[in-house]
Amino acid sequence: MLANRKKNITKSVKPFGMKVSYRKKESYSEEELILRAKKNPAHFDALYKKYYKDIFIYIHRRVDRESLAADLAQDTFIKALTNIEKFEYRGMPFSSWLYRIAINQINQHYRSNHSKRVVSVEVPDVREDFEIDDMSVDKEKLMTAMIEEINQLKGDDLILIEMHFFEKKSYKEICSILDIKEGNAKVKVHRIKERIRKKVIK
Amino acid sequence: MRDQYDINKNYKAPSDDAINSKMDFDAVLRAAQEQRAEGDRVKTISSKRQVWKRVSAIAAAVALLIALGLGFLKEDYPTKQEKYFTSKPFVNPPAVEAAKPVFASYRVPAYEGGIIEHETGSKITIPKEAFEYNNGDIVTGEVDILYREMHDFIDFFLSGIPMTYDSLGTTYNLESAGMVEIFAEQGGQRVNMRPGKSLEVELVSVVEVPNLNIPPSFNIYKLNEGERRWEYRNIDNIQFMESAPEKLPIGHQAYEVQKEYFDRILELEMLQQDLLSKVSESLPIPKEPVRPTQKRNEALTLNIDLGQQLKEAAPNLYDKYKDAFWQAHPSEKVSMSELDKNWEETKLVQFNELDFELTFIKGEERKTILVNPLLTGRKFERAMQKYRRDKDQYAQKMETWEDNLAIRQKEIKAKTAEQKKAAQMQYVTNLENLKKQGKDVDVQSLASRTKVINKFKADELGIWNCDRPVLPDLKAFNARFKLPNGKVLNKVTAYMAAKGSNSIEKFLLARKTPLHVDLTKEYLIWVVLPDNKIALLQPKNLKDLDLSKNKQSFTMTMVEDTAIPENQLRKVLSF
Repeated sequence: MLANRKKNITKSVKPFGMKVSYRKKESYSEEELILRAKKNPAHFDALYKKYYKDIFIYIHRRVDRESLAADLAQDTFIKALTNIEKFEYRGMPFSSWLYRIAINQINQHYRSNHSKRVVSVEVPDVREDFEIDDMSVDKEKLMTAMIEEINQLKGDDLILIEMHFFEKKSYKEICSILDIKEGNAKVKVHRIKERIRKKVIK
Repeated sequence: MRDQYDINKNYKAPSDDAINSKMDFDAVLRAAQEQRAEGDRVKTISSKRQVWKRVSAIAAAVALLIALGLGFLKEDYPTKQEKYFTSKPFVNPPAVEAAKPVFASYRVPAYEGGIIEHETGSKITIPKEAFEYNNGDIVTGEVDILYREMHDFIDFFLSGIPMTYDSLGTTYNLESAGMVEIFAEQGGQRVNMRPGKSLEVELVSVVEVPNLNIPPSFNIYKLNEGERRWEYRNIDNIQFMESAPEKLPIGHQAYEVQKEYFDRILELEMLQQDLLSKVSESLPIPKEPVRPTQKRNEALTLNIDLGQQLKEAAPNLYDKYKDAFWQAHPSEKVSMSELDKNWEETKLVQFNELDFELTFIKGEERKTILVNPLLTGRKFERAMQKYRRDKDQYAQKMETWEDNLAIRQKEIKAKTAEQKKAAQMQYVTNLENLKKQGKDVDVQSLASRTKVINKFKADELGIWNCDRPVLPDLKAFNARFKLPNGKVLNKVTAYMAAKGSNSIEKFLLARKTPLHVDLTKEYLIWVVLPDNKIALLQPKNLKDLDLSKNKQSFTMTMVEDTAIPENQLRKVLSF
């Protein structure tokens, strides 16, 4: 009991005049994890464990096949590890870099297969997303308008919309992944929203 | 219209267990290590995928044959470009008359090595017994070392060495701090570097140094002509040369003049930083309208008239919310019984556009909760209509704001660049004055951009580059290039250089060429036509483009002379 108490106190008290940070040995900052992986590739496992699920799901939404998503996710991490020396930690989250690699892997896959790219649309409350309060507007009609609009989109615009509407990523994260300005992203989303709204509200 | 995507409306993410079962870090580690060791492309680690890939390859081949047979195979631009350049030599000097960067020849005794001191100040240290014949025997006697340096985009253009670097499926441009090509010959026959031996290269080059105290960061790449790619080898150990200005000791005859110059540069850089950070403050970002909220059924509704307090706390919102319902914020855990008292007064303080702090007061007792004004029925609909109008205006304002910010930032940078140039000219004048006064001052060396030494070990003979990869500029539009006679250029190699970036981009000109540019930069684009004439597109043609148009058409100007020497070519391509 006493030991537990002591442990808690040690964590919360900073001796006066000293800068002390208490941290579990295993809890490295992202920058440290990257540096460790650069020094020893075996240490990349921490980053792999941290981001595997996110990257897997990101790819899975765009290929809709578990085995293929697993292969592309593995390839994403192999490329990341092979090139980790080139990754410079300058504030861009490591995850954004991984997403960029994953985007390239997906593009490469579709380029070589000449098949249609999968877009997983999943909008629990489509009216709320498009700020349509008119309950007479049919949800199906709205979905159809959205799909029509999606079919017009290309490249980064499609990814922007997928991440914003279906994956609910923040603008900050989207902009970091796509390397675009937040203002531009907001304006693009706004325009697409408006186009869809106009299609359903006469 | 045909759907370009396969829409999946019922997406279901796999379970955590299913995802976790796919994790295999050992395989990732193994594959990455193999790839690093072999310098190979990524090897697929899943045997299933290999089978799948083979099946796909066969299917793709069959599809290709069918498509060719039916005649409707249409290539996209990246495929066209890849095919076009793959069909040409990887190092492909243009067919112009100007001299290519020439090789210097140095004779070195192979058995004892030596140090080559090139006219540019660069040094190559050759260890003893560094070379072997094709049969593996050590080269004895003397070898001729053929060496050349390439420093700027015109050198890169004339040498035909590609300046793109492919990594992770992304193509980068290589911005160079200098490039060398080294070969060794004996009696006109090439000899090879022996395994385990390496040349120590100290390449002297001139680079832009944004921070005078920190050497810029570059990497070392080796050109693998067989595999048609640059290979990353190491970090460029870049050092300022001893003659670099900041190394001048106190007491040096030019010390004061130089100190004055660098103080001025530092002052200008700090000023620029200050102005850039202030510019967004001077251009306040447009305020995003707040979406009105409807009355929530589950929230605690207050039966209280807060009209007067609202008028005092937020007069700008009075008209909008004077008759509104007031409800406790969803995060409030307050119950009606806590509030059900004979309070003497209430106080309303605006927290943000939607949230207010409401304090109930009775003597010393106070109870503060977060509340929202909420609308119902037609009032809500009207507020929504207004909100949509405001939102449209907001989008327009945002666009204008971004444009204005970019213009202001560009103006500040241009002004600083101008001031720096003036400071540099003053510095040169001051140095010349010192010289006129009889002081021992090497004006040219002191006044040039910063000279650095790029130190690296070359364990193979060939082309080595001190570079850093930069992403191509993002703004893309379809461009069509015409000659003055109206002929549209198609299937021609084009070159593009950006001012201030020591690189060159080579791309295929097609009828619709996706051009990636940053319109704040200046670009020169040119082509070498089949009759060896050069056609140019000057930077001014890329300025003031109407970016709402996705297609742009440009008419290039002709350089009439076909056989121009290098110095003239440099004039033609200067911008």
